Amino acid sequence: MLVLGIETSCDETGVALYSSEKGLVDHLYYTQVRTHVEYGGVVPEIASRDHIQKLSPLVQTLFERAKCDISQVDGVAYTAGPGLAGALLVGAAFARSFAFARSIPAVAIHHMEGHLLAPFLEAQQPNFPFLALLVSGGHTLIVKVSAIGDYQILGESLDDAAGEAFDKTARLMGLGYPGGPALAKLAEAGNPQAFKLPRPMLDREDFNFSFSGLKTAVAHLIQKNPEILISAKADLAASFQAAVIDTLIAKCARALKATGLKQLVVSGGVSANQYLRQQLDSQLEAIGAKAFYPRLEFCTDNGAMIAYAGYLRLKVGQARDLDFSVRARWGLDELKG
Amino acid sequence: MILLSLDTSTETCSAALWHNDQIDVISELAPKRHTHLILPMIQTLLEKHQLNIADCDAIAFGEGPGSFTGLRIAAGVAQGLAFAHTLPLIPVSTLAALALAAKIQQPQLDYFVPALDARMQEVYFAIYTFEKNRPLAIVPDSLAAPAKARVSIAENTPAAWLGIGQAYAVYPDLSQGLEPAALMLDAYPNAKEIALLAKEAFMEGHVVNSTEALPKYLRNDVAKKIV
Ligand SMILES: Nc1ncnc2c1ncn2[C@@H]1O[C@H](COP(=O)(O)OP(=O)(O)OP(=O)(O)O)[C@@H](O)[C@H]1O
Repeated sequence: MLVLGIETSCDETGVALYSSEKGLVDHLYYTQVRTHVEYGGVVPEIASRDHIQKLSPLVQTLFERAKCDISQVDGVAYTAGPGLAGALLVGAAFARSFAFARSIPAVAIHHMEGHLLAPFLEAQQPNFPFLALLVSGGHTLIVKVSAIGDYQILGESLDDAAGEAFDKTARLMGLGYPGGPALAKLAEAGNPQAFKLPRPMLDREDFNFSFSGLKTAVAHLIQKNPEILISAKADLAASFQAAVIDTLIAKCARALKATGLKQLVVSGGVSANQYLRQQLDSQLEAIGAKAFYPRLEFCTDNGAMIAYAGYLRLKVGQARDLDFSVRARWGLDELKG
Repeated sequence: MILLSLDTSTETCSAALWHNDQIDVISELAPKRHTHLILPMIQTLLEKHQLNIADCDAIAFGEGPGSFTGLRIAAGVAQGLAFAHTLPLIPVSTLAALALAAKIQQPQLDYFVPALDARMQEVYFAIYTFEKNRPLAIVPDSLAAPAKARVSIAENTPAAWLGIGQAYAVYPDLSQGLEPAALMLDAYPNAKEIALLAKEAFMEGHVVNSTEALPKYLRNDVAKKIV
């Protein structure tokens, strides 16, 4: 079975072909990140305009590069939410109409399910059941994954998502937008113990997070002594990063213990963070657990994870009717197997 | 020739099929329900005529102006259908479609001035006249404040003209002091006229492929830059 996957939920246009026999055949994406820099954040209308311009050429190039003919496609998967409604609609309209015209099934995929399953595109794969930490620009979730579509949300951020906290703090530090990766890069040269920052919610028994206080703590430090942005910028970045990541890891370790699970899938933009990966690997080893990650390229939004999730659902006969409505908000725990 | 057309640029959702020298149309006033309706409409038309997408010679869609999201739905659907069978696409102006609908009803008039509400106190408008059944834009599809559009209408309609579209109801300013032969307020762009216009365009070879068929927004200043 050959599945075409299409992702347009935010500021990345991603397309991919996944084959049941050969695995991932090829994938391509176009990122709009630079387009939105001059606006200081993703502008939904501009994102949507970019998707409708880029999607069709990208799909065409994908088929050419993969040396596949459109007649070989057996099904189409597209992201139907959560995300920016206008952006989602571009992918949904194209994907659903293409499938209709080819008389093949189409399936609507939950964006976070895509992230959750991304590690299955790698050689090292987890087995069900497992725990998942989804950390991106819009989400921070700890999920118990019992099977495809059987997702129980154990914890989430009550305010800013982890990636959002990176981006907002990076902006406070003058690192531009989206500054998460730049902040992480800067942190490599810093001392994570230089500044004492709170480890929010660690005193609480639950698996929820709160990151907006951390950003405020950094703002106070800078306000009190603007000099640190010159003398100790890397230290500040490292201390902030450590505070976020210590918290993420502590809650995951706790959730692993509470559920008795030994495998942790980590996915979403922030899972590209090397400090997170190093710390997790060593700390999980100490408790006899193991982490699974997507390759760096598939940490952020991409079509490959959507094609793969689509394959799993098409394989068991699931398909969407001709309605291609999308859901800007859509809980992962509303899904079924 | 066999030509499929669709339009989702306003509250109306419509699809039409030109087949055996006749036009068949399905149309519904259905705000925000385009994603539910458009493909089933196309399917119903094709099944009724025992055709497949692959049988079509071309696909036309309302390129705009209109609701941004609606224009992208139409372009996305048209691109997806066309890409599936490497079919040519024909983007058609929604204002020209409105003008043609009015010309069919009032063939004796010379000037047709379609206008759609562009929100933010502006209208999309154009002034068309017809040479046989082919629309000629005296004033091209434009975005303007109603008062400015009114000046343009006054200057460019030397004979009786017809105002078409809800914008005349929303912005009385648009026709204040002018004397249109009539106003057709309850008019929306429709796949029917889009098909009729596309048919002519197709004969003249005005087609694009699925990577070139894009919405015509007219309003391009949609966000403030921080720098
Ligand atoms: N090395 C890194 N360290 C920390 N954060 C990072 C790193 N690389 C990327 N990020 C953050 O990841 C986020 C982007 O990830 P992704 O594309 O998965 O999320 P999104 O599309 O914004 O949100 P969602 O997937 O929830 O809709 C940004 O907030 C970015 O700053």
